[in-house]
Amino acid sequence: MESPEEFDLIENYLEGLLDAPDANAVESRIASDPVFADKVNKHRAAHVALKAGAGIYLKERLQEESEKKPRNGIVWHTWYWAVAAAVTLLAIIIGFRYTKTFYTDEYIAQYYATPYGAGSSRGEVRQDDFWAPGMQAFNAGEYEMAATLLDKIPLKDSHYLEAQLLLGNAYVLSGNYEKAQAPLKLVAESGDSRFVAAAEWYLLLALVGSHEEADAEILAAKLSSEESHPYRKSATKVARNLRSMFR
Amino acid sequence: MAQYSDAQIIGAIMSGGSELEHAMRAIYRDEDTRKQVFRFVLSHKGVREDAEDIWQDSIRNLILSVREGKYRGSGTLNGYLYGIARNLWYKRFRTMQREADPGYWENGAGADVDSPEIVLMDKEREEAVRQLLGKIDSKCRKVLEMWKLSYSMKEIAGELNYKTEGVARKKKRLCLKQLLEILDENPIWMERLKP
Repeated sequence: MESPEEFDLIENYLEGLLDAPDANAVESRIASDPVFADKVNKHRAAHVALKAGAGIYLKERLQEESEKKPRNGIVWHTWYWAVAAAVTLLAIIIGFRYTKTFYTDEYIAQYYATPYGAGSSRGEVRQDDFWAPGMQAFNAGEYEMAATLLDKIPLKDSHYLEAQLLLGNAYVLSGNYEKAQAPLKLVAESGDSRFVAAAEWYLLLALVGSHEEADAEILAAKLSSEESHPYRKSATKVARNLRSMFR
Repeated sequence: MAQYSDAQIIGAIMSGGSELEHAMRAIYRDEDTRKQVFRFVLSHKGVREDAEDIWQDSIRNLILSVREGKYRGSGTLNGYLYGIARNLWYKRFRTMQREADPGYWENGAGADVDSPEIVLMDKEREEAVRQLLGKIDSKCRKVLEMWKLSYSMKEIAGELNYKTEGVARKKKRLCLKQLLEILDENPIWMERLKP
């Protein structure tokens, strides 16, 4: 191994830091002194290796750059993806839960429940104790009061069936689905063509609201299949809602 | 590269150190040339990984060519870089595909006529250098590579957590000696590294 002075001389020569006379002197020595020439060659080989090594260093730096390079202006670190995934998942869960509220039995029943239009008898003033005030309460949207009054109309009353229909309807509108079933079934099975279709429709909603989904689906399928049923389209929608993936 | 002129980029590459690294990043992020290179590789039977590799190798070769004075400034730096990329892919593809599709390049498909002089490092030589430099410790290797890329002793000290520039300078000298000793003990490397 060379002395420190020789080491510096060779390095300065290879790096082109010597002035012309000194560089010439080194070259003369290389030509005349094989041991010195051998030392210079070793330094030269080291420089060649380091030049190649510098290329490797650059390549490594470029690879680092490629790993962090933003393609769309954002550096997407791993944790960005994790946060994005978490936010998306949360949004899906919240969205799903929110959407799910539209498909509960109660929501479906209430969404489709509208007050029954009682035809010519609607608003008619009668002399008995319960029909007129029952109708008034029904028309005023006071369904619980209406139900209490309509429930008292006796079987012999000529408006009994209509009163039972309104009673069932009032129960549905006030969320008393289970209580709604008996009067509506009675009307639906009465065979009175004036009220049967409406009674079936409200019965369907009552079944849905009571979570009796199997019976509700059967009834919905029946109503949907009847071409002339006035609630056919609505029943089809309810049937679809009952099968919804959001439930 | 759009925000820098060719002269600025070349100046930074020649200065070395952190300026070189800054220039390297600017070149790497030059979307226009990158897309041009990618398009070329992809349209000549390469895949995205090939294109990225060629893009990185081209930048490296551009830097080494500029530092060795092989870029003479005829034409733009972007054009020169694209030329390097085409030649690199030509060379690599020809090696890879010689058996599969021997007539492909010979038919003139993308072969470059205005070859820039490039510093090509073949894989065999690169592997040999990796092996040699792998014999010295990794910090030593980094000191020497950074020194070869004209990082100042201050920058080397900063990057490698040496207390002062003097410590970095001393470390560089010791590391170079270590490398020379390895060459002394293994004359076979002298053969492999003949310029």
